[in-house]
Amino acid sequence: MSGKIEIKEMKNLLSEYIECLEKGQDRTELLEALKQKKDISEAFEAVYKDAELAQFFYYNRLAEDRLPIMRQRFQELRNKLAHSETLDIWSYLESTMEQKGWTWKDVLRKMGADPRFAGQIRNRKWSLQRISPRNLAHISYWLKADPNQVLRLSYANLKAETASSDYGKAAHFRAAFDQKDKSPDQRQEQQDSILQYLKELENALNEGN
Amino acid sequence: MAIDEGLILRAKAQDPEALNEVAEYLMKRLPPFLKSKFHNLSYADAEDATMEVLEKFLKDPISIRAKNITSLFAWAKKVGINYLIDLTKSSELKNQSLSPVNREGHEIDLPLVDRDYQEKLAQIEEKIAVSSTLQGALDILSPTDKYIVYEHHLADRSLKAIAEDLEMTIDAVKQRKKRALHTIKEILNSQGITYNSLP
Repeated sequence: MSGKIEIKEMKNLLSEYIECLEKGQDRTELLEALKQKKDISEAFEAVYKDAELAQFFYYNRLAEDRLPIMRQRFQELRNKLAHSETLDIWSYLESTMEQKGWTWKDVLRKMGADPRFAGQIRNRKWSLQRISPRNLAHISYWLKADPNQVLRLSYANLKAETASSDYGKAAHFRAAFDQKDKSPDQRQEQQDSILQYLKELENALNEGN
Repeated sequence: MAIDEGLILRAKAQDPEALNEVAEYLMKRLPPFLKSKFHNLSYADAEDATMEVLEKFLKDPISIRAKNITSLFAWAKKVGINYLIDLTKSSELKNQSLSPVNREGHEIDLPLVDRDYQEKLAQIEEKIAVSSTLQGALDILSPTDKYIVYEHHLADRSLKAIAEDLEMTIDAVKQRKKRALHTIKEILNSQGITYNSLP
């Protein structure tokens, strides 16, 4: 008999808890009271589970309602952390080279590649996809470049390259380390190619860390 | 390559659309999850934890090994939970200690224990000594460290908010707070006062 009374009390507490949630108040002490009795029997536990479920739905709805505020906060965060420089990957690498007193010739020699291609890289007559992700990660490592910047700027460069009308026309620019000679026509293939490059670059950069 | 793998990769490379998509996913799901794990903390704390997760993602995505949305959410839950555990710990620390001095450096909150008068008097004198030593210890700290200790432990402000005030990273603020509390503890110990609640 007392068990029946208690389960009725539990259900009353549950109703009260749900009513409060509907008013926008999470009375966690009520949830806590239900939790303390959940081990008495399966029926008690079922009531507690209902309360937990009600709370889950309440907070999911709240999260939806508060999404505009969170979006605003995220935008502010992005603005705060925004990269002020408008460097491309080549300029970024060159700026880190300058700090070490290196040139593209030094980098190409270190890679075992032909240093005469340095001029073409400097004049931006070069495709990033002609440097393998692994070699790009090596260059970044030697130059102590920020791997996050390298990934970000590489992606921006690859996107710009594939969007350019000159894409695929620079096949005569070759280096000893060149592993890529693809000029995919399909947009999807280009996107896949970029993502594949990024994936290999991320792995190689992580290995370098 | 799976679709969500491409999404995570693009977000790590700071592609604006991918970043928004990943952020939206986390902003919808992470606060309710964290709130359900920490009943005693407010929903605003769960939202702060989510912003902490997003900040970590924006600052150093390469260090995050997650390759798909499921593993990213698992990582986010871990970071969020750790943030809230730290928040809970610092709140407990605040409640346990440093109460003898308020922000202005006076007003001692004495424990009211029903013992005889002499014992109570001895306790009051000890508290005053602690208070005085504690104030002395705080005065030794650099202005920045003192600001962090006051704001965090006495004014109950989050490390994130303090970091923003000082234009420092949260890690730097945490490090300074740790060092400052260590200094205070050493000074108190040197005076024969033990404050076990200090880390």
